[in-house]
Amino acid sequence: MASYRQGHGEGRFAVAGRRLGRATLVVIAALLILLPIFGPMLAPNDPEYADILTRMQPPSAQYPLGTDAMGRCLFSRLLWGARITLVWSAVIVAAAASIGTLIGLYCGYRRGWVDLVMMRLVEGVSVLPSLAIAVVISSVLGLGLWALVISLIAVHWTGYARLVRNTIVGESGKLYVTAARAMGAPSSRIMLHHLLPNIGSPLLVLATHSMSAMMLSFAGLSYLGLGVEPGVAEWGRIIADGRNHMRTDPRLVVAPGLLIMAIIISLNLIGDALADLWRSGSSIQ
Amino acid sequence: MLSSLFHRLSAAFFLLLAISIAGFAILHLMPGDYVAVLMTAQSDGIPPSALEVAAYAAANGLDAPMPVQYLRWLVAVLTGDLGQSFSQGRQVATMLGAAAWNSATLTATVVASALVLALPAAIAAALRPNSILDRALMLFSVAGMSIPTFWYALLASLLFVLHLRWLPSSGFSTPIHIILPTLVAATGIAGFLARYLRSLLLEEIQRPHVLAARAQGYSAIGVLLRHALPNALPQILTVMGTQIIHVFEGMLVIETIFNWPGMGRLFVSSLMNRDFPVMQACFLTIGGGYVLINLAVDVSVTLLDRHSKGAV
Repeated sequence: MASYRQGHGEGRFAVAGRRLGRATLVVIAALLILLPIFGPMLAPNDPEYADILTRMQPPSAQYPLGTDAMGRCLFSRLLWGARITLVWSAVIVAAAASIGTLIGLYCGYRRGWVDLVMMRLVEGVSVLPSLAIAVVISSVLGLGLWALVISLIAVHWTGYARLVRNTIVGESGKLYVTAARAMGAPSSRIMLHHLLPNIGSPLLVLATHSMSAMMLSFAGLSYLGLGVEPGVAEWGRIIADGRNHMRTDPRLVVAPGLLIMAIIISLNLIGDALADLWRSGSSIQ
Repeated sequence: MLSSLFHRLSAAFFLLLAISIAGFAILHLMPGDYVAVLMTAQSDGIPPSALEVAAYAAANGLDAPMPVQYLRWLVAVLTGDLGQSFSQGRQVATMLGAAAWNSATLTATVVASALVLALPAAIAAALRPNSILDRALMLFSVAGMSIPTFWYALLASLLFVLHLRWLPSSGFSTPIHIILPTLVAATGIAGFLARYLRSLLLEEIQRPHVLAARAQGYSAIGVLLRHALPNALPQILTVMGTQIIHVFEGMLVIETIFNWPGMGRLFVSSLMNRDFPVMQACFLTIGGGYVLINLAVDVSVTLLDRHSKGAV
């Protein structure tokens, strides 16, 4: 995104600004990793504790964001929700990326009929409506968190398989691969020790961008009732619980939505910055 | 060219075949015995005995081998018989017809409004890269791609329905009802399209024939509209195809929130009610629609490409 601004006679302030921007993104990335680990420890109240006497309270010292229609502390629910929305989205992306990478490595290095069949499959799955397939699979599996996780993994590995396969096809002809093969390294070693480290950057860029898309799907499906059970402190679910009181108390809907949107924007910007870094790095080589 | 068309057609055929097998499998993979579930649904929730199930299966050919059942089912589907809804007892084909039409109307409106918003913005931005308008467009585009649709829909109805009272909340009865879902669905698409079209046009502007036209003294905007834009048409068509598909995916959320009686809402409610015949029909329609849209885009791009190659 920012690539066309770089290079040509860039002023000192522009360089400083870009460095500052990158530093901010690093801090945000660290926060995103720390949030699900330490966030719940900062929660002032039990996220599940419901009390009819404290329902719909405005923000106060005890309830930083007030309480919801069941008297639960909204702030604590959002902090605990990070362990569901963020962690499960990351798990789905990591699983899809691992499966896709392994398949892509194998197909790209070995080629042959397995490659031919797998790539037709990848093409087929990628032109199909992935969200529709995911919800059908999860419905056949009996709805719920696990069904959703499995079905989302099932439709998302193809992007990684295609990326890795095509990158590996380009890399396999390079000298270091030939050298490793001449020294008698087994194929598995060439794939995992020599090829894999060289495709890390594009993989990371794709994973960051798909993490934001995954959070949107995950929270959206939970909002519709196709994900986690009602009552679970998942961010999309929290918005769904608040929507009936939106008119009298918009806070219940606005706060969790702002949180999701801030994280998605950060992830998209981090992905763009990584892509820029990777591109400028590879052009130097 | 003919071989490329043939390749696309055969690929589409195999995809449709795969979708139909997957759709057929939905009914037979669902939890519980298919025949028993079907009979329970038809007799208002009274579970049949094992004998009744066997008799019904034999009478309706449901004890035949799976490939035979699949072929019979395929013939029925192709002649428009999609079975009966579990939850409503109505013919699925009737429910589906109305819903598909409503969704198509909404999708067409969304795509058209997104294009109407995005094209002028992209042209203006490409004429003056790095201007304030260009930066604003980038910001708008990132925000549009990052906003959760379901949340945006709630905020829009909070503002326009509950506070300003300009628009009706949800439903379908008057043409005004289409405004709010269109606004919500089109914003993100327009942001993405504007950004994409802008970079396409910027690339085209640097081509030799465009520079030559500029050197002959034609105005920047005239060259952009007459030379750069037509050349970018294949890519624009391709991205429009993926965006139509994207819009369709968003319909699951948007139709449900705004109570728009289309495929998205029907699909979500069939999933919630475990109404497998309706779910199957929605899956077949959405999957088939995807394949056909992709095919249409591919074929028109191939035709356009030949045209442009012939011209150069």
